[in-house]
Amino acid sequence: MRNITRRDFLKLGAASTAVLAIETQFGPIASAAERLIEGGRSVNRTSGLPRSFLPSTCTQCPAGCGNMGYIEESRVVKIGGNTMHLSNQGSLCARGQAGINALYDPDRLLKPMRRNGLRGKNNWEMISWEEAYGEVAKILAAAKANPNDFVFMTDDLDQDAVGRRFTYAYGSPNALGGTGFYDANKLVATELTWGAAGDVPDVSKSKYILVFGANPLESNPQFVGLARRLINGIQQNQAKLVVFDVRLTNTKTRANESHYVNPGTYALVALSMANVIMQEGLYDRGFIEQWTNVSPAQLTQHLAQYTPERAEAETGVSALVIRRIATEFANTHPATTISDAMLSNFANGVQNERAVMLLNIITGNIDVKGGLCLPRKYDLAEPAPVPPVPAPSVLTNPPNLPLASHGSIEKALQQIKEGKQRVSVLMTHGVNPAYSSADGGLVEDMLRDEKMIPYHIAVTPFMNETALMADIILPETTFLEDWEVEVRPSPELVPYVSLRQAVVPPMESTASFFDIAAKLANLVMGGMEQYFAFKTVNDYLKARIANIPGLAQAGGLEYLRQHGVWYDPKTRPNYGAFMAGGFRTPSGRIEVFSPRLAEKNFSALPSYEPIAAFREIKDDEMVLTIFDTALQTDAKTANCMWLDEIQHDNPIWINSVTAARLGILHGDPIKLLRKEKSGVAKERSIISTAFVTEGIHEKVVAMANGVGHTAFGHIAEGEKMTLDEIEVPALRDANVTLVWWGHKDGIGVNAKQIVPIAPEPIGGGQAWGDMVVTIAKV
Amino acid sequence: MEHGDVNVVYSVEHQLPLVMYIGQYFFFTGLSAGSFVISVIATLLGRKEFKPVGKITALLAPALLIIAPLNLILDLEQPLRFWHLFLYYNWASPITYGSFLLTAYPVMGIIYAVMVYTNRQKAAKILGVMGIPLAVSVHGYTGFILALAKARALWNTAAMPTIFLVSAMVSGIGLVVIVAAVRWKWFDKEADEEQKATDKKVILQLSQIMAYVIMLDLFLILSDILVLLTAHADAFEAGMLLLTGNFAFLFVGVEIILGSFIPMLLVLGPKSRKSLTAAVIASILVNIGVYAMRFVMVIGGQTTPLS
Amino acid sequence: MPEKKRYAMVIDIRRCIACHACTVACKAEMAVPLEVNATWLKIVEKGAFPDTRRFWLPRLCNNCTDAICARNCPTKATYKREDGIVMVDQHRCIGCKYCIASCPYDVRYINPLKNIVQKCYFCSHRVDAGLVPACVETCPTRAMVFGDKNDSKSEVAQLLASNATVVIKKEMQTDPQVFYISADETAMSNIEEEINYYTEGSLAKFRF
Ligand SMILES: Nc1nc2c(c(=O)[nH]1)N[C@H]1C(S)=C(S)[C@@H](COP(=O)(O)OP(=O)(O)OC[C@H]3O[C@@H](n4cnc5c(=O)[nH]c(N)nc54)[C@H](O)[C@@H]3O)O[C@H]1N2
Ligand SMILES: Nc1nc2c(c(=O)[nH]1)N[C@H]1C(S)=C(S)[C@@H](COP(=O)(O)OP(=O)(O)OC[C@H]3O[C@@H](n4cnc5c(=O)[nH]c(N)nc54)[C@H](O)[C@@H]3O)O[C@H]1N2
Ligand code: SF4
Ligand code: SF4
Ligand code: SF4
Ligand code: SF4
Ligand code: SF4
Ligand SMILES: [Mo]
Repeated sequence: MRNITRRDFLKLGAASTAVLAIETQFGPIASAAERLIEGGRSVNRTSGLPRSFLPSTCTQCPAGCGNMGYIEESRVVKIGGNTMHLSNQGSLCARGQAGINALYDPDRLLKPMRRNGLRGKNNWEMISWEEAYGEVAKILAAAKANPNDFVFMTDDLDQDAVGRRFTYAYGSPNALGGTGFYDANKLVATELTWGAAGDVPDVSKSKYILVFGANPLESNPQFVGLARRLINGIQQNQAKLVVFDVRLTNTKTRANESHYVNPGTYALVALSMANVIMQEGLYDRGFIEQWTNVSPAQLTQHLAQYTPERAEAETGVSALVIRRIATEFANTHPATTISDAMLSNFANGVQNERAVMLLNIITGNIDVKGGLCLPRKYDLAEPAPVPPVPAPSVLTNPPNLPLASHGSIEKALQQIKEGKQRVSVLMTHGVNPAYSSADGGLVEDMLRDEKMIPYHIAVTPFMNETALMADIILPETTFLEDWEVEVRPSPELVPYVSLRQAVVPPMESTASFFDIAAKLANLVMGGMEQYFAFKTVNDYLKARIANIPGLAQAGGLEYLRQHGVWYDPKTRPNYGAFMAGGFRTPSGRIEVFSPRLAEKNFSALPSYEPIAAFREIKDDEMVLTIFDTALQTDAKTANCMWLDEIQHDNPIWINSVTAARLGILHGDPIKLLRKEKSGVAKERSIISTAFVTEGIHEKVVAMANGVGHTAFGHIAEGEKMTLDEIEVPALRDANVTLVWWGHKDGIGVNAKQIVPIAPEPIGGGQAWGDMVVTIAKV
Repeated sequence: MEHGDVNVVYSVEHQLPLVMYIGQYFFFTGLSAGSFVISVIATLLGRKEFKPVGKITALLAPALLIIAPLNLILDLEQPLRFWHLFLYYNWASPITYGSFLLTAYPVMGIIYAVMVYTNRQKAAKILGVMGIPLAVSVHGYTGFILALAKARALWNTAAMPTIFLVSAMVSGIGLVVIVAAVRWKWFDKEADEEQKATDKKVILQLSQIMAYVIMLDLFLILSDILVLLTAHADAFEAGMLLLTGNFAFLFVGVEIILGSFIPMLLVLGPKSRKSLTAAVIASILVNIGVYAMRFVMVIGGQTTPLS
Repeated sequence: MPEKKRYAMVIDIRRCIACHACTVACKAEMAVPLEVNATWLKIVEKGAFPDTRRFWLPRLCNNCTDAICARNCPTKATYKREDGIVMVDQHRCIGCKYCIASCPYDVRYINPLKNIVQKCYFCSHRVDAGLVPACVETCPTRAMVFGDKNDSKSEVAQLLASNATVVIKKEMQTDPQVFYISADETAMSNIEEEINYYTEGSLAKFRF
């Protein structure tokens, strides 16, 4: 433990942070300062003069950190952190800072383009915006007779309000969001259990933290905000950190204790711990009785089947350890768990999440200081007139997935493929299913099929794998030239609203998605124009923040444009808020026993269902884990040279003993072959080199996400350029002549392409973790 | 990887700052210094039979020293700024001594050569004696350049300047032998039989001197390696780099066997000691060996990772 | 009378999460080109399964008090400021690279676009403007602390006073001014780089 206090202001809480931030960031820089200023300013390197800046919001990952674009001669010269922002408090991760690389990517799309020749041949004809709008509007207007056949796909539907509005205004329900790609299962599990989507572990104030299937020090939906608080928790607050994972992560390295666990068995670890806590009487009787819909006796009886001994046999974690950790967890207050997308990305995902939540529930660590807290965030308004939500379709309400309330983009793709939904026009925006979806190859085939997808509009700043399959490309601005208001669960437990503001005007003739949508709506007409009758994007944004209490008095949109973020400085984390009105479940309590699950014939109590595919795993078969790193976010960061320079490869992690048994040496090329369920036609396999390590479970092979691109251009594909090849002077950065990481097979491999589409039966999100592969030397 | 070993998960690779231009530069200054010393010895001894040798070497020394610094300037990232060396000198830096030595020494060398060629014996002797410390410094300082870059275990030894000097003598004598032999064979038309015989003897004697200097060189190198192997961990690594590592072929094979032992055998061997051809072959090998040594030292010295 | 300023950095490895944010901050702040780095991370993995751990170390110029690079620079292009920061005068440097060869820490590089030797200057331009260095500003977990160690009220001074700290290669007697808390010896040593998980291919330039 360090002996002196770090950054006192971090401890003082939200209000004092704000005071300090305003002083430093928006006041003059003290010259020859007694104490150097922590952040939020930048000076020119030669003149030493302060640079002008505009605050905005980072979208390089779901954390939505507050950033600042520093500007010289109307160019962004650097991106730094916004010290006022509650989540990241002035820091940005590697990806956030590298956003500038995307803004000035030499291969940025700057003009509308129409496909020439076959789809996917990357052969384009430049056209004017007028022509592009004309063509798209004509096709959309013609297809409007059957509005249901219009499909819109985006990265995260919660953050793409414009896309959703556009789709509904057009009359189609088919706005599909990437939440279906990732944490849909977690959202469904948490909603079913405590009536709110997601959670916020209050780690900086916790004393005992259990991590299941998450890696908060390398990748997390709250990355910077959570990592800082977690380190504060274990260093300042001396919390004990215990991590379960299938491989050695940075989080494991910072843990006091960590364990390798058999893949897909989290729920059993958690449930056996819960069992110990119940058996030993270490539970919080009052909380269970008052705030859940089960009785301690009922729970004890249900959990009795999950003995530590059974857990030891199936999870690989010793019964002794399970007993000890269970006891410690129950006896240390406050305590919490951290779980993430990967915990619920299994065939038994929703139950995994519920099992882990149960640990917090029975120990009374729900929404207490240092415990597992309900997410706090503001509600944004849908500006009037509000387009009515069209009746659901097979895509938004897939049959067989009655509880998948956050959609399932994987299932949707499958249904389109199977002809269950006709498509007239597909519009993709900020999403890259040809790369990021399971069975990417299949998605590519689908997109290539002109009968299945007659017309594909890609609204995108970059030629990604999906845009390559488009008929027309509308060149969009990047997040640094774009406008939107954003709300995310606050790791500080004080809600805030953050503005994504254009820090520079749109490059060349690119246009923001808002402008594109508004323009199209006004051309397509047929009633949809009324929903896009804003004079400027400002009117739209003002309407979006109209309902946020206190913001208007503080200055409204003007305040946000100056400061980037707003929260009520008087607000303190209101722990135990549920006590006032109960939980937002039908019963008002935490539904440990879920009537909604019972009704659909799923186990109503948190339970463990072994993953079938893992049962009879042969000697040359392994479980494939695809993990995220601190340097890439799926395909979002593909063309950021500073990131690619550091991570541009994803060898296959394999345990040294397993490797020795299979005769695999470090650096050997090895092949992973998808184990087919009988009857499935195509063989899918990938080849990469072996990274023989002591840091992975014997039956698991792991590969990093975020590399292996076949599109995007020079940076992502590791190819040098000469400056003459870049037409637009603003994009000429001599660094492109130094790109060194490419080799003849491209850079890395997209591991996701061999994972079959497999929605989790309750949540509908993809079960990424169930993948069994056959491993062979090449 | 062996079970339980240390695995480097991530690190960056670093540039190799000094490349072969520097090695070449060391090689040429060495040749120059070596030939100057031989020339001065010949002049000092004053014997008639040494005269041709004295003359050749007097020319070689400054000529080589004009090539040598070209390498240096080519190696600069900002060659047009080479004059900064004189304007912004730093007496703590061996490169600064070098820049002044490198200017003074060729000037001295040229004047000396003029004296030798115009047969002004006395002036030549005085200049020669004055020039020797300069020649020694010019080459010795290159050894200091390496020795004072203390980060590199292979360089950071007190023996480094002496090793550089002695190997300079070796290569210098080798070069003289080659040039003298060529002159003897093809260009020395006026000399009579007797003169030819003495000249040949002188050349052979010179090659034998070379063998003794090689022995001294070997002694120094072997003591250096021995100390490296018994000193701290980095030094041990550096020693092993030469004996069994990536540079073993160049060091053991080329520098020691091809460039030292074989020439010694050639010029001292009972039969070959009388053959001018053998002496020339030996001298060529010696120079190859010394060139390899410069490579091993300059490049090899930088390949052991620092971080 | 207060002592002269002496800037120093303390890196608390217990807080560092090996996120590479410092590396990227430096690239942006100092316009460090691809191929070279003024700061980077070294990560090693030790121990046998299942008792394996990772150890890491952010690396940068130590801005040494007895900087060999400055002593050996023939043009005094490398010089030390009053406050201890070791600078390179971009207009004076001739690019002889002797400083790179001399530095025991491999932290200097030739800028491939400008053909000038550079390194970390503790963001002197920011410090002069009253700001902490760019890497320190962005560090998500506040593992890096920067300040005047002669000012007993500064956080650096207090950290140095109350913690066991180490420097890399103390035996080189350069008096490094980047101090580490809880650094691992293997990570600090110059072990042979057997493999490189993120990068493949050689960056070392053998230019003959
Ligand atoms: N830095 C960074 N931050 C990110 C992202 C990023 O790419 N990089 N991506 C963003 C997005 S979109 C999302 S959805 C989230 C993802 O955030 P997470 O879901 O937390 O990230 P993952 O790396 O997919 O998985 C977390 C850990 O689960 C482990 N794991 C996998 N299978 C098993 C298993 O069977 N058993 C056990 N015990 N562990 C297992 C993996 O080894 C990995 O270390 O993060 C977001 N934030
Ligand atoms: N096996 C496996 N597969 C996975 C995962 C996994 O853990 N394992 N993770 C899944 C998860 S969690 C997710 S969230 C999905 C993500 O999948 P997607 O939602 O498809 O997100 P990305 O792949 O990041 O693609 C986003 C696209 O946005 C574009 N883009 C980048 N910057 C900007 C910008 O500033 N503005 C706009 N408009 N566009 C931009 C890029 O071209 C990029 O192609 O992948 C999923 N795939
Ligand atoms: S964690 Fe990094 S990438 Fe994600 S929003 Fe924050 S700065 Fe951006
Ligand atoms: S930014 Fe901070 S936490 Fe990240 S690697 Fe650098 S020192 Fe460590
Ligand atoms: S670390 Fe190296 S470059 Fe930096 S001051 Fe010390 S000796 Fe000089
Ligand atoms: S490269 Fe530049 S800074 Fe380095 S020693 Fe030479 S002149 Fe000095
Ligand atoms: S102090 Fe500045 S120059 Fe030095 S490593 Fe940090 S960002 Fe780079
Ligand atoms: Mo995600």
